[in-house]
Amino acid sequence: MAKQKADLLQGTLDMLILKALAGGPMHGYGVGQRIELLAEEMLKVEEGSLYPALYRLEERGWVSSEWGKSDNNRRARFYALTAAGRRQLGVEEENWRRLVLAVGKVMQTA
Amino acid sequence: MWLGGLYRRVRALLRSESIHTEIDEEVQFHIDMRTEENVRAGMAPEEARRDAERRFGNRTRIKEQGYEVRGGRWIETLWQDLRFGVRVLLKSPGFTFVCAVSLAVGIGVNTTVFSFINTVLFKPLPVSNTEGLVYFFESNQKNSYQPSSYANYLDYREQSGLFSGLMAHAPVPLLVTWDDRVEEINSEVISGNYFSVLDVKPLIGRAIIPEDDQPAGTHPVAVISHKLWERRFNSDPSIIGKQLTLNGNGFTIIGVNEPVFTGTSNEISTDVWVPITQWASIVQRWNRTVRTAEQAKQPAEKKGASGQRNAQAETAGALQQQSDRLNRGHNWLSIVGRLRPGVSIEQAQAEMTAIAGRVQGSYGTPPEGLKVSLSPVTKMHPGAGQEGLPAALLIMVVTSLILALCCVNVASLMLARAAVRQREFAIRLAIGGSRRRLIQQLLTESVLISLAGGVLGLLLTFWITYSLLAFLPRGEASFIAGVEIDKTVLAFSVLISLVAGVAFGLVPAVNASKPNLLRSLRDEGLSGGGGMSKMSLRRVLIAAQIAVSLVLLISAGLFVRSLQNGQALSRDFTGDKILLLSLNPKTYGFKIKYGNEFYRQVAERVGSIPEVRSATLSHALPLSLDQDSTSITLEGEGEPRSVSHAVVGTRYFETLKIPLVRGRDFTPGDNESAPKVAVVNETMARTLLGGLDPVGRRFHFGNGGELYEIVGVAHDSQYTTFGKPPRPYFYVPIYQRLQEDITLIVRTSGEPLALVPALKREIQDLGGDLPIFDFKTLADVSELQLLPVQAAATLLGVLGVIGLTVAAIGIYGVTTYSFNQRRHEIGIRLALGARQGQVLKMILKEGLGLALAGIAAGLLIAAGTTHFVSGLLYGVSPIDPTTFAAVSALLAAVALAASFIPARKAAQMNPMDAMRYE
Repeated sequence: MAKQKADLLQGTLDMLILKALAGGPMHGYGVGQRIELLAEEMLKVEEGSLYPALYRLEERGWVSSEWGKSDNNRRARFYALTAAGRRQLGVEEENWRRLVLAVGKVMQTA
Repeated sequence: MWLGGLYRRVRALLRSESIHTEIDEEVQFHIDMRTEENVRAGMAPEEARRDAERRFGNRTRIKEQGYEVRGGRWIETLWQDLRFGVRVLLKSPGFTFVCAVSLAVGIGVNTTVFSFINTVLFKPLPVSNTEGLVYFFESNQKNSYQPSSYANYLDYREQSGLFSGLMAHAPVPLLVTWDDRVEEINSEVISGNYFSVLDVKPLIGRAIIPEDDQPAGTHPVAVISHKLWERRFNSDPSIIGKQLTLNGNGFTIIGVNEPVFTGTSNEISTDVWVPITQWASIVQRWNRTVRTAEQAKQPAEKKGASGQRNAQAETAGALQQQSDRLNRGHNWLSIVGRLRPGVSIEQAQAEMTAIAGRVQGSYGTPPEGLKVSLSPVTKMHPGAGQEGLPAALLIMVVTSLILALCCVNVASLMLARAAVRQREFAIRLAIGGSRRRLIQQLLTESVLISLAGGVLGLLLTFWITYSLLAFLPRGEASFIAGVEIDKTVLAFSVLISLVAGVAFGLVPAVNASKPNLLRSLRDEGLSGGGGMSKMSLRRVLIAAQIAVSLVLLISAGLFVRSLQNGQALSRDFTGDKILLLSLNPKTYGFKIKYGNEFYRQVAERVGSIPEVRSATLSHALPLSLDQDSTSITLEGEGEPRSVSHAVVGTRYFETLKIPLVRGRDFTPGDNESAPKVAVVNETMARTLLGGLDPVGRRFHFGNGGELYEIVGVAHDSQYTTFGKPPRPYFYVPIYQRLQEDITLIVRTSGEPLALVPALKREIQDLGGDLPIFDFKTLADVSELQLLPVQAAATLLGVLGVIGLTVAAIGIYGVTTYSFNQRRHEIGIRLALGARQGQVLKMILKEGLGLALAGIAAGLLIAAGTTHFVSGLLYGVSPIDPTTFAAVSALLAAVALAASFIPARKAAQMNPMDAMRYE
């Protein structure tokens, strides 16, 4: 591994996936790529966590999936944010902001 | 979201295979993408793929997770539950069998009733293209959905522009003459566009078309059903062009319908279709034949010239009347139309209303009243709905009560068993199984039971349906077309099975899923306060069951006694061999010429056949439910009274062995020229004539009609149904009041039906081409009449015995359960010196108390309800004390036996064991 990659904070993967899908539907591979791209390769998304997370989000109804064509014209399963997912993303972003703020304040002391 | 989840699961259930392949495909796609990227980054293809695979990690685990989310888990759980459920049920086959049979009765009865109702009320027309097809009705103040006249129909057809076609049809029975016999078959007379409007094409040959609407007699064509083609023509492919003799009239067969097309009636399967325009010919031709035959056969008859003239005048009148069928006054045709594409029902209705107004205006019929309405054929026929729906609903309510009862039975069985399985449930919950999961498992079991019940119930339905159909008259003429178990009926029985399964499974399942963990694990525990509410629910259920089985068994008992009485009466009445042969010339259009002379000779000739003890004629069949009621006015009194009567030939009382208690019998001398005479029954003499010797008194027949003198009094007999208190009744001689439809009643020395060929010969020799096919023995008639009683006795008996069995098991369960709970206490009692007998009594008392409560309630219910069926009880009081007492005693005995087993176990217990039991 060329670069030093940070481990994902427990529970943040779901939020990241929702965020990645906020830009539009994409397949599982694309979701992983997009998160890594947005994180400027500082995060690494493990397939072993990505797919279970996608399935979990689908079960909760935040993400829906259907078959479509990928850029290279192959059949691929595309995931899209549902309305409930969009709301959930808002909630999680808000939580995240507060968490960062709070953690930041703690870390700044002393 | 919940719906989405459900959808996903159902979808998954339907394609569990593809879930795996889809996830495979998705994973493969990911790996391929990664490989490509690796290759772009400069790896060798082999290495690129290996790296991609390695990075993906454990594929199987991911696939499993995906499978669960996509709904697969649900299937697997269900599958698991099913397998476990089957195992559990097979482990206690007795329990499963009793439950399934109990449900089968409920489901079978409901499905049977539903299949009849479905056939009669809901079955759509057997045509594939129902787009725009509508029923058309005329209605007036009296009748909302009445048929139309042919002339009106023609007006509607010609004046309307919104229909692509408007056809008319009516069901008629026609007589077909085969080589060996005459048979009545169901036919429809139709307008020429019938088949084109319905969009029905024949299997072979051609359909009847508008060009076939030719004047009577000139172009007789017929289309036959597939059934008739198979039955009578052995599916002969060269049938087209052959002749069919309908009411003595030759018709050319031009087509055979597809098997699915059984005509436009739900109750009756049509076998022959002929154009309406042939109607007059069908009837006229018969009349002519008959007259000619009579003239030919009876040249020696001394008929006065005036008689001849009369006959001819009569014939002309009849012809007039028959062709009236096509005129305006005669409402007999049902109309069905097909709307042009884009035309709404409202538009068409408006147009038809306008036409109806014009038609009425131009013919001077009162303008008020006549309305028209349209109704799509895809909906229930409104006429049928209006008449049949309330009755159907009532029957369905009764039968669903039966099913509910069966469910209660099974629910209480399940409760009893849940008590036994308490430990199993407790362990499952203790090791972390969720309540939902446990309830799901128990529900799966109950649905399995109910589906088994559904299968048995369906078998029962077949059996009931076919035995019922076998008892229906005119079986061969395919009386009810489609009482068949079709998709709708199947769906219905599956549905009620599932509903029943959940209904009886839910309470026990929920109940079972919240046991007191600790107590249950300690093996049913101490005499427990915790179980009390559950216990009392079970107690109430069991007492209710005992009550219900008591009601059922008492009803069954009443019916059995009624059946015995009915059979005894029937033997008295029909023990001798009596044949009934209906001639019914009027029904088949032989209105004319079967007059007194004909019948006099029939009676005479038949009476001289060696095997015939005596023969007579009557227009009212004994034991027939439709008896004529006439109003009579006693001479010298102003008040008319309604009395039933029969028009009978000589030797009537002798043939039916009705003794005359006073006066004289009818003689051949009581003919059309003699003074009118009558014989009354004892009840009429007693109630209407003051019991004084009525011979010699006279009454007006009808309102101010002719005077009849009473010449005799007959012993009371059976008139409508067995065991009814006799009603006022009188008889008048047939030659003084000839009726059109006559039945020959023959007492024979041998087998009655063996006499039919001889009778046929005699009658045909007399010049009748009267069709002779409607014969039965009086024993058949009375058997048919006893059928409802027999059916009710059987059904109630079966239900009652099942109910009793279940209740007995329930009592056994409750006493066992309470004995188990009180083990410790009983042990102490025994240790302190209680005698075995005392313990035995204690436990017995509990079971018996439950039974007595149920019996008391049941007796009250029975006493309050049995009078509803008193109409079917022959000579038995609806609160017959013997039946009530015997059934109560039986139930008490069964309850005692059921609680005796646990009671003895309790009494024989070693006190030390019992106390150490904890």
